[in-house]
Amino acid sequence: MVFSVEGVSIIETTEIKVKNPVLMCGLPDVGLVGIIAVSHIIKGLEMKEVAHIDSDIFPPVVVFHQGIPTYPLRIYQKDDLLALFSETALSPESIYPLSKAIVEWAKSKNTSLLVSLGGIGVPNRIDIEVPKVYGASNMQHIRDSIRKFEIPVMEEGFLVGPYALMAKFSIHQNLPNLLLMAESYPQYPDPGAAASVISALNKFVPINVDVKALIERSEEIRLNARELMRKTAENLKKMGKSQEYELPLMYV
Amino acid sequence: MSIERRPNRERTDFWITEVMWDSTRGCLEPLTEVYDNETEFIIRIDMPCVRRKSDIKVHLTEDTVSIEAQMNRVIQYERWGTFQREAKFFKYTKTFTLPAKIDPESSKARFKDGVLELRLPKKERRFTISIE
Repeated sequence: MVFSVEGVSIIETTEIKVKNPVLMCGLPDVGLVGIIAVSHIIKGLEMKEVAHIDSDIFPPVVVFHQGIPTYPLRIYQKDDLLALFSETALSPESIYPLSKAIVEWAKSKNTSLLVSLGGIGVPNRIDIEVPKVYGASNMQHIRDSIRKFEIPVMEEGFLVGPYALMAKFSIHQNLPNLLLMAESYPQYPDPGAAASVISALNKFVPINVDVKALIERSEEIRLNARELMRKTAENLKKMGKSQEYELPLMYV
Repeated sequence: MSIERRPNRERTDFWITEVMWDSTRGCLEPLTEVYDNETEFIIRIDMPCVRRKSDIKVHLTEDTVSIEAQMNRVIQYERWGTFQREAKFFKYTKTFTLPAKIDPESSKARFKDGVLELRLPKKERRFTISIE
């Protein structure tokens, strides 16, 4: 089955049988937090690849794994849990149609919760032992859960990038969207921040993935994700990521 | 801030201009964050697999910073990149050219969890004037 929105196609290579699934997204963003977290969850739960995403506005990239050419943007499944992640940096031009396609595809699957896992760049990350996670949602009952789990709510401010668009499209589609964003190094891969968002996610969705192994592999991940981090940082700059450090005017 | 790239970088720039490694010298280029405020430059350098501050050498002039750091082990890739060849890395190197002069003698460095932080005070003289 192929699901297409504005030139972005989600190609299901296996029939996806789900009932009100949870979809977790790990797209290239601050500290590669979402990608590291979702990749760890996929491995930890031994999720199976069920779909990939393609578009002629994506970079002309294919990634080889164990000799097999693979699409860099893929979707994995285990029971009612879906996980989407990207192994390549995404150009600012591709973010809009991609985010729209993800949200509309999630809606078509009757997704009960679309989770965006990411990072918030903080300049004093070097002094933070366990990064704090902030939560946000378009739905009141999810915001209530965020507070119930004693996760600070992102009350004011801007969000820029793919998760910002997914949040906007989720409002339009009336799709429950949960953002979990950990304090992170702005421009370094941050497995510690990824561990924090997984721990926070566990409160909403009992995935029971141990983050100890993620921390233990921290150096290896930081080494291997350097190039992706640099390309992602360049793209985030083009998207105007610095606006996240500005104050919104509405209530001034 | 401009970053001076070492001239003996391995030739891989047939169609690209920037790679972050040089397997002929076993070097990786670290990721860096640079903050330029009114009084100082703050440079943070991510160097996973560097454990001891004694393995890091920082050389400063009034307008350059050079870093070389030994990893605690050799990082070996059996099939590095599309080359599919063996590659070994054992140190990080990077040189910065600063856009303003600094005071090397007042500069400070600290190293925590594989991240080196340099605080480099600017040398330029500052004057406060009264408003008439």
